[in-house]
Amino acid sequence: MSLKKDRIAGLVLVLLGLGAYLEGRTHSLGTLTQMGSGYFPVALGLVLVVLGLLLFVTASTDSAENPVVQPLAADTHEPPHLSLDHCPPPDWRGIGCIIGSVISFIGIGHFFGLIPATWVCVFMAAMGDRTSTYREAAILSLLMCALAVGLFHTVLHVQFPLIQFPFWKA
Amino acid sequence: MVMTALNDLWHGFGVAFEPHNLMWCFIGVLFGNFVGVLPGLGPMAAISVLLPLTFSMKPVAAILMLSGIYYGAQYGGAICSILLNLPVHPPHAVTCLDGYPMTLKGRGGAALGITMIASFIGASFGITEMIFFAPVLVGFAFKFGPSDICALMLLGLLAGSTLARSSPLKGIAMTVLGLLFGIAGTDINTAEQRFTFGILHMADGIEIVALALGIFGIAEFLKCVNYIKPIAPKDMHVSMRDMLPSREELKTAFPAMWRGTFVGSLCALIPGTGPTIASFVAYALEKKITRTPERFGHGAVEGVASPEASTHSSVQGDFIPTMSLGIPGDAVMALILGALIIQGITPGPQLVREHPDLFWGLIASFWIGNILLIVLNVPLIGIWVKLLTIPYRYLYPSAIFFICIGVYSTTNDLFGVGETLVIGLFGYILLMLGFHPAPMLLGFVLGPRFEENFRRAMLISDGDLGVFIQRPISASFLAIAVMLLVVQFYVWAKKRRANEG
Repeated sequence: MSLKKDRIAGLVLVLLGLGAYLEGRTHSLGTLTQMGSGYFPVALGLVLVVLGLLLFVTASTDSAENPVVQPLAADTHEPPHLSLDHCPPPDWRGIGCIIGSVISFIGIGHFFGLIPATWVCVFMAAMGDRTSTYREAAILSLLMCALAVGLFHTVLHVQFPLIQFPFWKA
Repeated sequence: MVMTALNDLWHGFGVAFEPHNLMWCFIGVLFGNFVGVLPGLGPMAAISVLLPLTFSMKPVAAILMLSGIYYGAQYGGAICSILLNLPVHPPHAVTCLDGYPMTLKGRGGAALGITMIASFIGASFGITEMIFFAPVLVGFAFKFGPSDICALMLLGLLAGSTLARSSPLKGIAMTVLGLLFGIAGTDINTAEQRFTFGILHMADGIEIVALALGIFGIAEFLKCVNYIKPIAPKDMHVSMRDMLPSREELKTAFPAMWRGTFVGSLCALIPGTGPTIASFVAYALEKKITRTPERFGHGAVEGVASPEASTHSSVQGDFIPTMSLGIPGDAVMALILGALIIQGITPGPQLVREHPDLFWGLIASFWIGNILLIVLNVPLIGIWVKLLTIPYRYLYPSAIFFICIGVYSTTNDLFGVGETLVIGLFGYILLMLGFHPAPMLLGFVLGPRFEENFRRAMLISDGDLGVFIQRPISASFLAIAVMLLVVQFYVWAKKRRANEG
């Protein structure tokens, strides 16, 4: 597990470094005395490649370093033990809902305004949690809408149309 | 020297007591305390969410509030870690070791009480250190040339990345990545656009708010969703009376607090060693000097008092390099430095002279803020404990909304929200691969200045890299950096061998 993970991590670094190197090469390199805009990115990119290779080569073969964290069952009364150091396996429902909620904030916000965007964003994010109910999520979303209007629109003057109907123009 | 410092401090109190500033300081510590208590939200997320709101504020008020959030969250985080064994912010991981067993023994309230006292003592000492030490450091820093600044930044970056957790290689990689993120956008020397991929919005570079909220907000939620359980409210009862430690506990705790304070204030002076290291060192020290090491891990009072004191003295002391040299010690300091830059204030040794109201006002506000926190925490402990029971399923959707609107309000553009999402996803992948993205922020904030100073140093030395070793100041910084690297890799290799064998 850990072996594979560190190897992948090393490869990702190499790729990122190569990307930075290639992008940096499109700018002028210059000399060490008169550095062009490409000098620094190219150097950093190469450093990343080296770090990635080092990580790949020294990848630990030890699997005890990464204990697997199980998703908590709904009926345990244990206090949560989420380690700061280890990332549990992805929870696809939660991840999908969170990504969807941010995307819908952007999309709905662009066309229909702040209130609908806020409502959908919060509702969708809340449904990512397996213990949420529709009712709770709907109420939470309404509260956030109230906050959006009361705090962000009225007090802080965030420039965002509250509600609009783009396809409905007379 | 001492008299001038006290005089300036007096002026600082004048600034901090202005009603406007006092109000923002209060809001900061209150909000920080509130967020610190909530399981699953850290001070980093709290500061980044409120960062956009500070853009329209005056610089002094903005920094007072952001700093208030930071140390307020430290107080709040202790509650969460002692009562629930849930460290939200890394320094509290050590507090859990003996704090939670104390809770199991029914002394959770006393542990909290001791934490409050320890925090206050630690913080007070850290602030005093800042008052007297920062001006000295500033005087020294005026002698720095570009190559010295470069070497110092390198030291700060390396220390910040390697002294974190996990493998030093990964930490350094994150810092380098942060540097790359930092220089995206229009190059100030040639006006060429780098890493913008032809996107117009990227010409100004990556928004610090988008980066911070992406890695400390979205990425954390992606990781934690469905893994944080709601807490049964029945276990949670702490009243003001419970917080009173017994005389015996106080007697053991007091010397430990002073030792912790001392450790913390030492750690604060070394760039890159923030509160996390301080708390670990303090705990190890207590375990070493006690006659009864077997009590540790089973609710030893010293094991709570000393790390907490050291955390707080180091939190306050961390502001010394940040404010006087412009080199942040950790990700939180990087954020606060970012806020300063956005306010149009150039961090560095000239800050103390050019903005004395900001510097001394900040120090004075630390005192006020810490007293406010004691006042907030002792009588209101019941309310804070109730907050622990707010389930995560209410917290993170609200936080996502705050992130969206917060990023939007910085640029009045939805592009930033998308940027945050992309960085969040990227951060989550990094987390999955075992990286800790926090040092990225350090690199990000220092990136442009690092490049700028490196260019200048090379221009002056006519392309001779030897200048870094020839100048005594930069040579000593580099020597310390190399030493740090060697020690880190040695410790890491030893630990790994022990794990394997």
